[in-house]
Amino acid sequence: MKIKNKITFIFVILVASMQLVIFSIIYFYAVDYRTDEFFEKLKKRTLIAEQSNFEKDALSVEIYEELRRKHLQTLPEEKEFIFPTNTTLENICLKTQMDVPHAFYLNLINKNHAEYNAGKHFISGINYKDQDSNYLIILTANDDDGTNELSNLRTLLIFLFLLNIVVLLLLGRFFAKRTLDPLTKIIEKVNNIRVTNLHERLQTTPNKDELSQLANTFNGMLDRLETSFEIQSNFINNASHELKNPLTAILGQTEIALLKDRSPEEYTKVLEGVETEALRLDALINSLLKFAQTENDEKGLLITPIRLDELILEVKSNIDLINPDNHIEIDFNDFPENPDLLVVEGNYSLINIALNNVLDNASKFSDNKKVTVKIVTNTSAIKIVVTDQGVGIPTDEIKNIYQPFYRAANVRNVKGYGFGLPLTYKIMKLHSGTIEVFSEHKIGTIVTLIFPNKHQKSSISK
Amino acid sequence: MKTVLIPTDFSEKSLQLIKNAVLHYPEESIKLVLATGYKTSTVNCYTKSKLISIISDKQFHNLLSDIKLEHGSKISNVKIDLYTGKTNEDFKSFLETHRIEAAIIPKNKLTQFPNNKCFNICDLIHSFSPNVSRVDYESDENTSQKRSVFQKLKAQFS
Repeated sequence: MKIKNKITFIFVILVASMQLVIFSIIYFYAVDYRTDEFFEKLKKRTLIAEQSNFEKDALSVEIYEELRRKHLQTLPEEKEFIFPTNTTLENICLKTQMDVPHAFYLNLINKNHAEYNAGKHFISGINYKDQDSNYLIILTANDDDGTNELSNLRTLLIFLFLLNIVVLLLLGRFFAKRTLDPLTKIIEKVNNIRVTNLHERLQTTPNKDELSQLANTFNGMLDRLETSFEIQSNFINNASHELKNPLTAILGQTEIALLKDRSPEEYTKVLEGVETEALRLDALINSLLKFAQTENDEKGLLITPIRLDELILEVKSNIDLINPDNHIEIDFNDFPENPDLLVVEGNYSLINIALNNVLDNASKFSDNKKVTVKIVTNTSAIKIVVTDQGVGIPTDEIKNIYQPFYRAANVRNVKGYGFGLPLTYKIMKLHSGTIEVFSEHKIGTIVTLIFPNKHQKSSISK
Repeated sequence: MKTVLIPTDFSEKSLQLIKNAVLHYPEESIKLVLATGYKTSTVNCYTKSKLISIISDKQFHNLLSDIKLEHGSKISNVKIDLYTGKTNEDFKSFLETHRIEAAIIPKNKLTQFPNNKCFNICDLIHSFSPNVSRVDYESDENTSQKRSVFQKLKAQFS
């Protein structure tokens, strides 16, 4: 069932139920009032009948008779019965032609007054007691007017109830449609968004209602989707470009070599060139595989406690072997007194790769100028802060640095594949950590690797 | 040691200018003066330090402590001050008092001031401070929304 119909249905049920209760109360109150009123009329007539029949003063009897004749309208089917007290219930029933219940008879005898009605037939009686004799004075009448009035009221209420249901249905449907119209528009708009028009966004209003929030949520999701598509597209472009370069170099060299017969030295030179490019291709594919493995191998990683100061020293000595000209300095100031605060839980080789990437980049892109490494800790995090004086990253390119193969415009002449930071980013994410990069173009860069404090629960899959 | 003036609007984002200062002066330790303009009335029952504690929030001071720790060997001291003068001469005097040797100012204006008594001193710095460097800066509009209502009221009525 559509939400629109459901809302209408619930609205109609609720309002109709309330109306039904109100109309029922009105009707039963009217019935009760009408019955009481008619019994009151009958009781008055019973008392007058008693006075006119049993008053000893003849003048008074005449006055009562006059009163009854002039001022009291005769009720429909009004009949007056006077029975001796010892008359049985059966006799009363027979005479009055009404099925009088035993309770009425008992009340009449014991409480001297009784009333009873069955449908429109009413009966009222009093037990008249005199010094000489006792009599039961009983009046019966039909409440035709009351029955007709109640019948009209009932018809009117039923008609109003049915009319209201129809009106409620129409109103409920109108308001449900009006309320859900923006939702329908959102659905239509979202259905029309394809890869080709992923830049389109849903219209939002400054209101803070749920529909506006929904539109904002969709827009947020579309932003993320668009970014993902851009990343994917850039990845393919960059990967194709990076893979094509060595292949082009290999093909170029072999093509030139095969143009004519050459000396063994020339062939050796060509083969060496081919080998260099093939090695570059191999390194590139290895990086790609490593990157993919990081993504897929979250489970089953060997997690051990790692002392970050020792790791930094090891990474530094590795870089010293490859690049002896580096000026990486480890700042041991502000080291925490408690060595436990230097320990993080993680995969040693992955964190080694991450730190190696950051320090290698810092040296590489600063032309071996001074690079400072510092460990700081606080209650929630352990940070490795790497500050360099390198070429920096242009502000408008910072957002792309975690895309594989992406290389900022100012470092395209420096050897690399654009894998270091994306891989480090993934490794940090895998260890519930983050990487923050602050950079100023042509001035330098501050890279901060942030690990959760080991006292907090690590979310790494063990 | 170099004394570097950095304007602030007491937002966490504005503290990134300290990182710019760290990068700009890599070979020497720096003494930082974080300052903002503040219009004072003739009668003011608060001292400057009290005013600063009222208009700056806890997050600002926590982040400042973190940055100081991260670059502890570079940053020797950080002082926060309010410039309360009205004339150019007052500002020059302010610079002399703090012995400012350089300044870092954002290319975009600082916008997240905690109340309307605070004002931007970037133009004054640009005009009168020695060795001014302008750096890229994007103010974080959401930061102002993160300030609690209580903080805003407290800063507004200070």
